[in-house]
Amino acid sequence: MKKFNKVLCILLALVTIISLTACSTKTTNPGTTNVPAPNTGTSSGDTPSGVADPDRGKVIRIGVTDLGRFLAGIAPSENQSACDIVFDTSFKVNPTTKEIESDYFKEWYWEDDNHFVCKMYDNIYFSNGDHATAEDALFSYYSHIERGSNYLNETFIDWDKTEIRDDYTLVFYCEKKNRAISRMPIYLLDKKWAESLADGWADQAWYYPVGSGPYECVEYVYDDHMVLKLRDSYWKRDISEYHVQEYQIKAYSDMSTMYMELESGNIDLCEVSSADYSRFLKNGSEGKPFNVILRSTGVVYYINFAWLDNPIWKNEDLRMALAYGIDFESLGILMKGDTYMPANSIIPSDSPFYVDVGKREYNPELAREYLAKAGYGPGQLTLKATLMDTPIYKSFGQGIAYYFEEMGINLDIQYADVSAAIANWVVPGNNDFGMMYSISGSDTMSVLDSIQQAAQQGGVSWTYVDDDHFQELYGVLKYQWEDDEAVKKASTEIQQYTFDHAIILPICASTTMIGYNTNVLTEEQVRGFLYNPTIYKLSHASITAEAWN
Amino acid sequence: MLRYILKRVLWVIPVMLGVVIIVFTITYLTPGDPVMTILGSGYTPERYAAKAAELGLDKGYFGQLVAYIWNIITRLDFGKSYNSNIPIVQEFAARYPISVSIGLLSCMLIAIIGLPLGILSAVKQYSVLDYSLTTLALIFAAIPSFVLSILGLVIFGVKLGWLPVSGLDSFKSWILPVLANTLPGVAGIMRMTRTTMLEVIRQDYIRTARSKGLKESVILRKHALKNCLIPLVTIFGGMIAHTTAGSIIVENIFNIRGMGTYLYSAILARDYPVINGCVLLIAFVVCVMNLLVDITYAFIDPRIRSQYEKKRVTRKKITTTKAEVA
Repeated sequence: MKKFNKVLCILLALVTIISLTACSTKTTNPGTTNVPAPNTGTSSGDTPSGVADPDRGKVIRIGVTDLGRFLAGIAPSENQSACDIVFDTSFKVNPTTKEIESDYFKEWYWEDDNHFVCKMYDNIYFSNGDHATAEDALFSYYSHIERGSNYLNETFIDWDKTEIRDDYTLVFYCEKKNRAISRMPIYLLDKKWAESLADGWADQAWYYPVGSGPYECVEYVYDDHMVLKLRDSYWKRDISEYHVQEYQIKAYSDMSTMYMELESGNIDLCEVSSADYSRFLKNGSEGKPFNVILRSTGVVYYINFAWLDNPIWKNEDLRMALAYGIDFESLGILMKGDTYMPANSIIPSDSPFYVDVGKREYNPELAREYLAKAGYGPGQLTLKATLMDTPIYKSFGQGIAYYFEEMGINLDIQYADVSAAIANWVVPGNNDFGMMYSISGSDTMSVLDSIQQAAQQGGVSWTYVDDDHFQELYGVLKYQWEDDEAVKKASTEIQQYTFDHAIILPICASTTMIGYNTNVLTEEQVRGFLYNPTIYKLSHASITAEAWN
Repeated sequence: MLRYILKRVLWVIPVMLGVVIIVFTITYLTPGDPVMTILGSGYTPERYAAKAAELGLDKGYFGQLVAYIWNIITRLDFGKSYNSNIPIVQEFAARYPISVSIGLLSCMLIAIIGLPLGILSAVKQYSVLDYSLTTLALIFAAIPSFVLSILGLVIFGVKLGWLPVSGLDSFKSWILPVLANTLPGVAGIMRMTRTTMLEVIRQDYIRTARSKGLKESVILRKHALKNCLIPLVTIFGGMIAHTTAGSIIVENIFNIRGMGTYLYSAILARDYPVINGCVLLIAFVVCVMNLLVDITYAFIDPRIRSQYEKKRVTRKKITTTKAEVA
């Protein structure tokens, strides 16, 4: 018995030592291969064997944190990744050419100063066999508004009436020509099917919708996974052009678990959290076939002044004080850590429309001088703001509190959860400033998309810029139709004007980290997949068949 | 005895009613408008009113409360999730068995490992074995289950690749979540067993048994173990209730579609009907487990059983005396 006890003790001690050693052992070998350079996302094995596997990428397994639902509106969130391939879309931006293209409109043009004509293809069929006409297109536009989907896009809706001219022609009557109308992504819905659902809309449309796109949802388990299969036929293209036969989208409640699944080769594509990205930067892929790329989402975080609610912001010296009194690089790093990407202009530096507007060096002395010039001594100015209690807003609040104290500005910050914060923001007078990002400014990374909140009243009260020249330039971007040169000029000028006069203060670009299995996908494909934060535009990738061979 | 059980069962009703009222009232008073959450920003007053009526939110507090309780009692209808529009009871049916399986498996392991180790540690008090086991127990009790889960994932899932990282698709995939749930529990039960056992084996009746020349194993099995079971059953009852109700952390880390993930995502999405439903289910399980624990007391402890038998005998005597007097 005594001997047995001794053996047991030794065994227990060994187990303890082994467990503790296993937990503390550095299993990485820094400095070896596959350590990626920050921000470049150099692939560690895009062409692993040199010989293309014909089955590579036939099934793509994607990890997401929210499976979302189809056609559910913005709240609850709409699953845009799956919608993108289940439905045909009115207008979308080609990520390569940055040009607007349409799935179901054959052509679109301004007939005169008021009539925007959209002509549909006449051979569109839904997955249930129904034939699509202009009635369906019109229904799609109105049901899009009705269900509150992408409510921000409603700022693009400025037609007065619509008309169905013939079976395949839809006409929008607008007060004047504008570019925004051809930027609204509207999924083509089957009116007959949608109306037949009546009260069962949420049960059917959220999970098994009828679309005219190349894929259909064949399996949906709420909060778990969905399977999208290539249809037997697609009205627009020969189905053999499509390489990907099946998308399996799996929901993970924890992003780190999702990353570990990528590391283990169990998923092929997923968003990566900043903590895991930092781990990736430190350790690399450790010889495993995956890679993580960092890219801007096209969205810029910036400080907005509540021009309408507080007239003090008309004073340029005050705005300048803040422009010099905040170290935007440090603030951006505080907010984004390893994923920081600078932004001096209102659009990110990797946008094709970006203009080098210059850069202000952090200068607290000069800031205090500007503040005095604006008429405020130390402690004489108090500003209030309500921020969301999310990590990025909290970091922003922490940073801004420091710089305001340095400048001698009193700050009153309240934190609230997302819905309470938004409810606070829409009430005029509640905030003197705020941090916002160009929510819908990601598709083209263009100036028009990026600043629409600064140019439209309604919604969040403190984002509107009450500056005549700024609004004039925005008007050119939105309404100038014929003269492309004038639009380009306005795009450049508005960026420079915004910087020179501290109209809006950009902090940093919003970034997203995408991990992918290098045995299945190439970096080029992954970059082609997306041009929206966390939304994979799958349709584009699956038909670029040459990239798979 | 039957009377005792019946009495305990009947007590569950006011407790559950209390829980329903508290949970419902908290939800009712919580800021935020579920109709707005569902409709987003682009709604008309007519749509708002229609949705509110559909959800029964157009009634006053008492109207909503009565309807809620009535639907649960008569149709087992906890409502639909705001977020998914799926009936909550349907999700319970899919998820609860998963959480129960993990929970029961963990509890079984806790009992199988924790009890013998605790007894061994108590019997061999101050030996190397005792110190080793106590130290190990302290380590596992001190490490939160999420740390254990992540460590397990990193070492066995990612680095060694022996076990799956998430899901419950194969036998192997059960190992890590069950262990992450089990190890802190083993440590707790082991330490509790040790303490109780030490107390019991110092009692006079144990000494008497020893002096009578009984074998140590017989003393432990027949006299000590039974007596140290009562506090353990109490702890174990609570443990079973909580582990089977779904471990939020473990289920989230291992991406298991159980009650824990359901409750967690509902909290994040402010999906009040789901939160209410989950809380009610957990409360019900806790009530049932407490009931079972109380009944078990009566079975394992003759003193408790005899209390009720005595009461019955006393009542009989009183009745007889009254009859005699009459």
